[in-house]
Amino acid sequence: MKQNESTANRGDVTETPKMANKLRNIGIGFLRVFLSILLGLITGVVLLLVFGYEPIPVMIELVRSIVNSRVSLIDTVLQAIPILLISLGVCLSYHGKLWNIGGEGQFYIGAVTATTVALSFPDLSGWILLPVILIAGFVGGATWSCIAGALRAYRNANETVVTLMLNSIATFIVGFAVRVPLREVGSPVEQTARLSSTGQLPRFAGSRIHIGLIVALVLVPVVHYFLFRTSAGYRIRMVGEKPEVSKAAGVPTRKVILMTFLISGGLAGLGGAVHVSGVTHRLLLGISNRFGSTAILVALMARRNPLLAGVIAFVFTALTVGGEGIQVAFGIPSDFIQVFLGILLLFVLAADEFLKRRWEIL
Amino acid sequence: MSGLETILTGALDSAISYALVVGLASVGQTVTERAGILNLGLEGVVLMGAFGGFALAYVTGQAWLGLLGGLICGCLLGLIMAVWSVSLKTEQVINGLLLFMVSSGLSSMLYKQWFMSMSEPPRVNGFGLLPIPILSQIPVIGPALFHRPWSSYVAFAMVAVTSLFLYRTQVGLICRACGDSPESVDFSGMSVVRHRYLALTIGSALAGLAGSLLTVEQLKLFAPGISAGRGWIALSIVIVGGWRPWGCMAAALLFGVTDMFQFQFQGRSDVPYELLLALPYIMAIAALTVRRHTVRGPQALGVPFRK
Amino acid sequence: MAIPLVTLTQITKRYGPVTANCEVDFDLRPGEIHALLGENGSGKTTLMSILYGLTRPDSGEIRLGDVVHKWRSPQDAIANGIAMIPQQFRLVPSLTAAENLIMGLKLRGRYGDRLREVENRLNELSSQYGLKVDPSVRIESLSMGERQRIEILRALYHNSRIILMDEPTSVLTPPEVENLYVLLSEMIEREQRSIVLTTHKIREVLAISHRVTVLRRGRKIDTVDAQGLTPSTLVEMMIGARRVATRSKRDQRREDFDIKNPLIEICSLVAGKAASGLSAINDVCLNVCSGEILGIAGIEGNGQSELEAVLAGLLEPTSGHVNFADNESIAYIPSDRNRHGVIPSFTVAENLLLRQLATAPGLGKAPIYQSGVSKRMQELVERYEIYPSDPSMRIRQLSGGNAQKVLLARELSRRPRIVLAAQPTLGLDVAAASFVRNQLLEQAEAGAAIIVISSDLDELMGICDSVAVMYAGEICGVWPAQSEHLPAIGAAMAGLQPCISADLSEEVDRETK
Repeated sequence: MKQNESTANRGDVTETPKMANKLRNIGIGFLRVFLSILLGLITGVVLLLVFGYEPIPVMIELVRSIVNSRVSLIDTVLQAIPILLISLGVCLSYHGKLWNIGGEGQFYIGAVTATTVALSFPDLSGWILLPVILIAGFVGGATWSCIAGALRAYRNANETVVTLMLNSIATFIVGFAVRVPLREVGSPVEQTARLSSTGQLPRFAGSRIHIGLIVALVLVPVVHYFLFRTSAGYRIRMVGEKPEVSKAAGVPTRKVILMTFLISGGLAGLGGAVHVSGVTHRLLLGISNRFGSTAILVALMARRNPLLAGVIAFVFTALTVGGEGIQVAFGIPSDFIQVFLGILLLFVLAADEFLKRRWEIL
Repeated sequence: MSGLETILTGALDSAISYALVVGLASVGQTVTERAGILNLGLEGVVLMGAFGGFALAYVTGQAWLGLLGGLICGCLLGLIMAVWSVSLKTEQVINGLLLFMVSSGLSSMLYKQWFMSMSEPPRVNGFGLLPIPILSQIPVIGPALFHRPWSSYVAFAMVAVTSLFLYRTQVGLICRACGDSPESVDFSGMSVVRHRYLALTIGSALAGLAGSLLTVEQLKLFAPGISAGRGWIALSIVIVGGWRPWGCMAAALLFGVTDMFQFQFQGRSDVPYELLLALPYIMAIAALTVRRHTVRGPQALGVPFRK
Repeated sequence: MAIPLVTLTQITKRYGPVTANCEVDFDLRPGEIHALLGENGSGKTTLMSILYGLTRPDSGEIRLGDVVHKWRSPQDAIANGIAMIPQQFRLVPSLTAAENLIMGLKLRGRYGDRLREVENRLNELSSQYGLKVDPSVRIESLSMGERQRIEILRALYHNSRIILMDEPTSVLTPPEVENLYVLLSEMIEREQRSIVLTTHKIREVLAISHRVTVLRRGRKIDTVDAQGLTPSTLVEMMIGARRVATRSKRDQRREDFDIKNPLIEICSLVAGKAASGLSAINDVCLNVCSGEILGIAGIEGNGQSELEAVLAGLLEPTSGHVNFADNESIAYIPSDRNRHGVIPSFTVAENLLLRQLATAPGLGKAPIYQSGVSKRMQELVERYEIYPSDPSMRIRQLSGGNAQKVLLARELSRRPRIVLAAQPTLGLDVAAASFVRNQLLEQAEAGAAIIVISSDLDELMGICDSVAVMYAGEICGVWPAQSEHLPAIGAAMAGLQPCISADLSEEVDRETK
């Protein structure tokens, strides 16, 4: 919290608890990080043993396959970008206690709208087309998300189930889009035509990494600032903490809920646009490699903090990419990483609770 | 039987099969939610039950053991969910989602590890058909409803048992009370924790059973993700069914019929068949939007009980 | 010397940093009504919960006769003859009375048969004690008084010798209170039960108890015989050496009120839905002028919470309307502080700025971070005597009284023209309550129109100019807040006064002055 200058100067009794409070918070933060890493190692080792693999060779190979290969590193970055964008939205939602798990669907709808725009104006200059594509992606994801948002705000419908349903519906929409209206003319494959060169996000010299990385990285501190330093961000958190208190204080709670869904969905949709424009250059089913669920895991691990999410997105994506490497080397199915991450997070949540309160025995 | 009759019977049969799995899972979820726990990992429970049941049936060669396997898998998952949601009191929505990720990943992984090396995909024998004497002769609906594998009747009986449990036993009464007013249960001296554990175990067991029904009775095989969203649909059926077992079965039947229509239209190219595929999900959302006014769910749903 | 039926020795119970009970001794003699007197937060309910087995003490002993017991759950206490009637009824709304009761029983045999037995027994008891209630009706359709009857029947069903009652008269009308006293005397004299009664009402203690134990801030002050006690002795024991803050009575300036231009206008208001299906508020008309304090009195549950909700903008009226002369300058002190007042996980500063945070432009820097704010926060914290005086502390680290002060500071520092205060001193210690009342008086002096909704009639008589009584959702009358009108006000609160429209009674009063 902000240091209160007048209190500090007065050398009040209250200053000591404040300092002690701050140190205590920092200490707990470190403890959490340490505990998470420790739990991660233990979980990983135990899981591998249970399934009959030797932990050390596998873990070494995991790291090796990530760092040793330029392709893997680049793949990690490329996949982390949409995951990061979606997880920023998830962090936002969770601060508002809105359990929006529709990242995957919002990603896909954003991809659809972005692709539609890109294919409709292939000859437009990149300076105009690219921002328009990104905006279209944002709008697509935001709209899709607002369906759940409106139902939650005005009907108190359980947003988790609604966003879940919408995820499935979104895949059907994409499936139809690439099968009929947007389909590449004459192609036997269900996919769209390739985006024009002006519709593709430019890359950094000599690599496959596109400037969408900049967009994502810039948005990390922006979302953090938005959440913690602006009134709108405060309102999101107020409505999440105590909706009735907020209402009594004059917050238009329904609009705030809607806005939360809008922004978080928009971020996910932006992820879709960025991924299509920067990586796949066309739309088809399956361009998302479990981006939505990984994003949720990232946001949980980051304790809803956008800055941490920025780091953890890359870590988790690296693990996923490495997971493919160990599949090749040891025959461990690719689901292993998902199982590992899920169990790890369960233990992390449990550890958090232990730090907070006592276990109630049966 | 004429060709049309055969088609109709076949369609009805698949609708009933669909409804049995989804309905049983939703009945299990009803027990859980009535006790106040929102278990979003239902799809995962169904998947694990599907795998566990299949594996056990394959290994032992006995189909009925497959059902038991599904039940046991469900129990275990229910217990795990209970530990996190009732004892640790972490956010139920998150717990459920994490358990889903773990279960679906685990079921997929175990299957691949175990069976992928085989030359052909493993199959199990199903259950023998058990025709009900006179009723199975009724044209069209007879064979679909009353000439089914005996496991279907078991599943159906489980719904009745669950309903009896909830409304005609003291334990069931207390479980229901836990979802509406856990403080009152606590005050009367009964343990909220114990009853929520019980409800979760029972509910997940039923869901696991539903999963094994899918693989052992109906499809006689397993593949990763085989439940194809039945668990998710079951979540909304609980609401449409008004948190009552028979209501859930009725809603499940409705959704089964819808699914039946969708399947029939898949061959045609003038109708975007994806729309029909999406129909159950759209209906689910509609149910959530409208139902709110008419049916009151458990008041303490999703809220951990703190003394 | 009678052998105590129940002895509690050195009971200590802590909830985190708060010590609810500190080394409390207590005993109950057979055939007595023993009152546990103390203000809110003194530890009465905690002590009873421990005796009933709802919680376990951190240290101390429970003894029945000369046998030491360690309850693991209320079932143990019930088995030993102890029953409790809680302040907030512990009845599942969607179940019937019989089902609620059967929940706690150890059953043998068929459930259906046992349920019928329970219903029959409840009917028997109900007629035996004159506690009319239908055991097969769902709780959600019963009134508060009826629900309490079921709680009492539950205790009688178990034939408990020891009955614990937590603030039993807080939800009853005066005639219902009288009935309860009669019932209690019967239980003592004819059936030799023993009763522990927690209360914060001194009059009640003097009316029916044999002995009184006074608790203050978790400690026992003393146990005395009720005979010969005076109210002031009890008050002194309750609040200790501090003097009761003298309630400053306002100069009667009713003639100065500008009744032609009320700041608050409530017209033909109909809103809300009571359990019976009728409207919670029915055709309410009230006006409040600048500088006037209007009190809304009445037993809890007669529409006050709905009125509060409508005035605060949280509930849409079914018909009629509420007009505020200045919609931007309304202060609201909610009765349910935790639900409507403060955000516990936010800091004091953030809570003080809650309204600004609610309405400041979205993308701008939040008011917290604007320059000069921290100085203002510090000033506010000091002016309202909030302890600890660090605006970056989180509200949940503050005591209830201080959290209320934060609320007050936030609302009243804006110099509002309209103030809506509901149960403003609930849960506060005497000094804080006095502070709050003075603040309200100050605001009125400055020209604000104030509505105070309170179940504390003394408080209302102390600071209000007039008192309106709500009964069954209607305004039964408005009287000047003077002691000569107390009987009429009391009668109205009990529903004994036929309801006449508010304007009419005000006119009548003015004429008779």
